[in-house]
Amino acid sequence: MTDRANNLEHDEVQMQIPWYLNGTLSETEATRVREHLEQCPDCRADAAVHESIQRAVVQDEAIPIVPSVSAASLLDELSSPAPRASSWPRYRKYAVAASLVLSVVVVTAVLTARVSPVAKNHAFQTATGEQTTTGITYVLRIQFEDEASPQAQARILGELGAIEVKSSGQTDVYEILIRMPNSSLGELETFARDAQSRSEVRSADFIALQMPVR
Amino acid sequence: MTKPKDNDGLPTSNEEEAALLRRIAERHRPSFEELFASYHPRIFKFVFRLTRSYTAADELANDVLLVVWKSAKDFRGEAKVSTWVFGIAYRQSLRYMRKKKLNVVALLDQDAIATDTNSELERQDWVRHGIQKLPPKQQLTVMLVYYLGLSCEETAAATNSPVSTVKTRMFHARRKMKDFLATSAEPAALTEANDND
Repeated sequence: MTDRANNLEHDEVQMQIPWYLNGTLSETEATRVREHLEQCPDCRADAAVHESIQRAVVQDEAIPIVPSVSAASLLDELSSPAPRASSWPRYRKYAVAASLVLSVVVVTAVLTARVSPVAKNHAFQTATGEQTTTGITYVLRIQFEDEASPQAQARILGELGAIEVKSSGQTDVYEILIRMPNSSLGELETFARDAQSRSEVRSADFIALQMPVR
Repeated sequence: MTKPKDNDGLPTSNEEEAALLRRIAERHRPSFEELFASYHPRIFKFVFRLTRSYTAADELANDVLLVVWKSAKDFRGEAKVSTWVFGIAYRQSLRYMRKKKLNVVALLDQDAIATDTNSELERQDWVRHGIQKLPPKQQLTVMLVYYLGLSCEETAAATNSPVSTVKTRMFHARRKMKDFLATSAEPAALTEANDND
């Protein structure tokens, strides 16, 4: 094979490595890539990087998946008519009153949920297909505003019920462990939003969890 | 009522999924519920791996499935149903990642990663950290190829891009990852693995 033909094959194989690794090349193409890799150290080095990426991406994680809404209620939300803009001023005072009442109800519900466990035991579908019950320690990543004093940060971490606080390595950013038994995804969202609504908090997001040892 | 199937009642083949989509196009809610049960966890996991956010993963999975409900009639059967659905997931995720670019990149910062360099998990954490630094289109293409295992042509269909563009994105993703792993304080085990090649 000429140098030019070799270079052409090298370039083509280099572009096919990802699909050689994920097993979607035809047998003929796969054989061609395999034979080229055997004799080309540059392409083997490229393949090693791709393999690292592939391993990191496909590594299984036990992610509890709890859809916040069912398929039916998702469609119901879609089909419920949006409020007409023109009717807003007319019903404004009723809407404001209703939202105040709703806020009180929601806040009460959130506070109640945070101090007393919900009676129902949710079953979580995990990425491994395993069913498990709740009783999970979640990791909340929280970033404080620059002007938040250490005292204010400590107070908020306490109020959030942090059972362990880890430094992220960045100033004013912590990963805190929070035990939230019987919490639905909606409750987690509410919790994160509640945390983020404080003026001292720049962001709050659940980034991981610790599954109970069974 | 849809007939029961293997695999916990979820559709098991592209033909079954295509039949579901045809019924969804006719506004058959039980078919949508069946597709939702099958795809919500997969889209959730796909997005969660990119964003590490439960909220984003759930919201995006719902958004994607609502688009499926609204546009099922547009499915022409030229690609597999999964390719079509994840094409929608690709576009929705791309929009989200562009909007939240800083937050997504900041989710896993270098200092937050544990220093136990002998652990395979820590090594993979490190590589994932590098993946999260890639531009959104490259990250998503990497996910389509390696997480979903799409062929080059399927990836092109899902991203509505030419095959050559898909190959180029993977080429650049690999090059950036190689630079990232070479110039950063990567775990020793990975360095050794690459040096051996």
